[in-house]
Amino acid sequence: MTGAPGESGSGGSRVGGRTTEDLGIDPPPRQRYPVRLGTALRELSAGRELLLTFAERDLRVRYKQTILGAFWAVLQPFLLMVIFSVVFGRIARVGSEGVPYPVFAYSALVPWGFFSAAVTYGTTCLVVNGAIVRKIYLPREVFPLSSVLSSAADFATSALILLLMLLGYGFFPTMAWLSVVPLLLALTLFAVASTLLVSAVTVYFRDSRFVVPTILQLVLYATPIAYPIGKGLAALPEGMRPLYPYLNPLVPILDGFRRALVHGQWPRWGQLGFSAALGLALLTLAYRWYKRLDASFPDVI
Amino acid sequence: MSSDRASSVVTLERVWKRYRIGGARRRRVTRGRRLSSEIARVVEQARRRGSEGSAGRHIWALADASFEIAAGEAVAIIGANGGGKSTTLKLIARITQPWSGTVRTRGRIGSLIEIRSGIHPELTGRENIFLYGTILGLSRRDIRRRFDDIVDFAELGRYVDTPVKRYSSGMEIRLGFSVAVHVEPDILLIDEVLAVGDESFQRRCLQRMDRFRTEGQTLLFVSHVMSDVRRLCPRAIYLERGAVRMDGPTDDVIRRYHRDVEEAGP
Repeated sequence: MTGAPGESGSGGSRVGGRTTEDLGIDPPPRQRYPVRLGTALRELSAGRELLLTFAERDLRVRYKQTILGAFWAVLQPFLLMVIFSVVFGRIARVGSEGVPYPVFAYSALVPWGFFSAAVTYGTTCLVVNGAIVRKIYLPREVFPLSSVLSSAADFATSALILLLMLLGYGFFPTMAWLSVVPLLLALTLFAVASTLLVSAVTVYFRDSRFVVPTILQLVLYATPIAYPIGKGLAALPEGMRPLYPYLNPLVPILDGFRRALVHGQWPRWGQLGFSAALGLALLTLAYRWYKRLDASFPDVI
Repeated sequence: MSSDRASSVVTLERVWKRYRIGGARRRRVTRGRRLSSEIARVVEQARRRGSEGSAGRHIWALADASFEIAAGEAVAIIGANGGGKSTTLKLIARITQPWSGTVRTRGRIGSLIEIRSGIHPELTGRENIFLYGTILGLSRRDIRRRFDDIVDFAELGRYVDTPVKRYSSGMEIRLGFSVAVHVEPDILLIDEVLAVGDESFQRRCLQRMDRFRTEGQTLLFVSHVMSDVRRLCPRAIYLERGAVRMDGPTDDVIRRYHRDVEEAGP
């Protein structure tokens, strides 16, 4: 197995090594190393502190050298609510199910903000942490997961403002507010699954940095956030209407937040159950797919 | 030299590793290319990726490399650039997967492969100690317990609450190195980190590694500084263009390496 000395530098490759022709023997076929999900989950659970540390770092870094700091977490969905109030509340007058438009919009915008921020940060999380991915071994799903977790922290801040706003407009807690718990769980399933997917795609195609924001805009307007669910249904062809909450599984979730917080109604459990099941299936698929790819991230990124 | 399988903590068995070079992953050089040509390029790339035939597009960083390292050994990996040294450490650290073959390790691995990578410039020294310590597998409680030692070893002093971007590069390396050595792994992988930092720091690092050895930890050391290699490692593995060219007592291996370099000419 000795290469002829003196023959060095053939090809002049900076990376060194030999091309297949240089080898003089046939290389073996690629060996498949099976992905064991059980092992992966055990490693992930051992990396809990790692996840917390990364989420904390994301938050610290996100608001370093900004004047308003963590206030931006609140300001972003809040400003969107103001814009919506003017455009949809005043100009387009889409209606707001008999409640003041600002509360109407904000009650769905805050959970939407969580999903959208998680996916947005998740798009670049592996590329931004490229140095670590390339040089240190760790369960690499901590990067997308910490995008979700740090967005959840921002969400908690926004939710506090939403609470004050609800109380200020005279909407007081009812039993139906408890449905926020299953609604959040369902939303988190989609947030984690989508974040895993987009983060892995970005490793191979940086195009996603341009595509993902556009898709998020599309989903924002395809979901009854700025407008009442009734208007969304009315815009669809007659035959499609019953399918609306199933074609866009975020519909029963985001509308559910509004039903609970503003109208004091429980979610439509059948639709929500379908969404949650779909979210769980998507998450399982996304995680398997992510673990299959992530072994080659360090070589590609 | 190498020992029976039972006591070996690092085993490489007929390991191959290949990387893609140039061509297929060429980054854009020109701006404002037309969309049609971009699409054509993407399609072409996907087509090429499908057919594995294009041999010249890959290089074999490791080609059929095998060796074993026993617990408590200190082994240097030497060789010219592109020999496969860093790839070997990355495989042992599980950062990357082999093309084929087996890499087995036993015990906690600490790697000083690129100590700056886990450090975030916007965060302070203190925040980075916790961040990097956790990345390397310490719990927060472990870090708190070792915090003062880490700061002392890195000689951070009053800069501990200053953002790392204001540090000198030497200080940054010291911070990373200090955290990494306090992980107290069973197997420590070191890749040319001693090249940076001033002499007094280098001396302390070497002392620290001596201590590793006396405590029975296993050391894998990649360096081009042969005096450091001689001092730390009784055994050396000489990698040349992805293959183990020689494995044995350090002085013999270095002699062989030097002879090869001379024969290759300037």
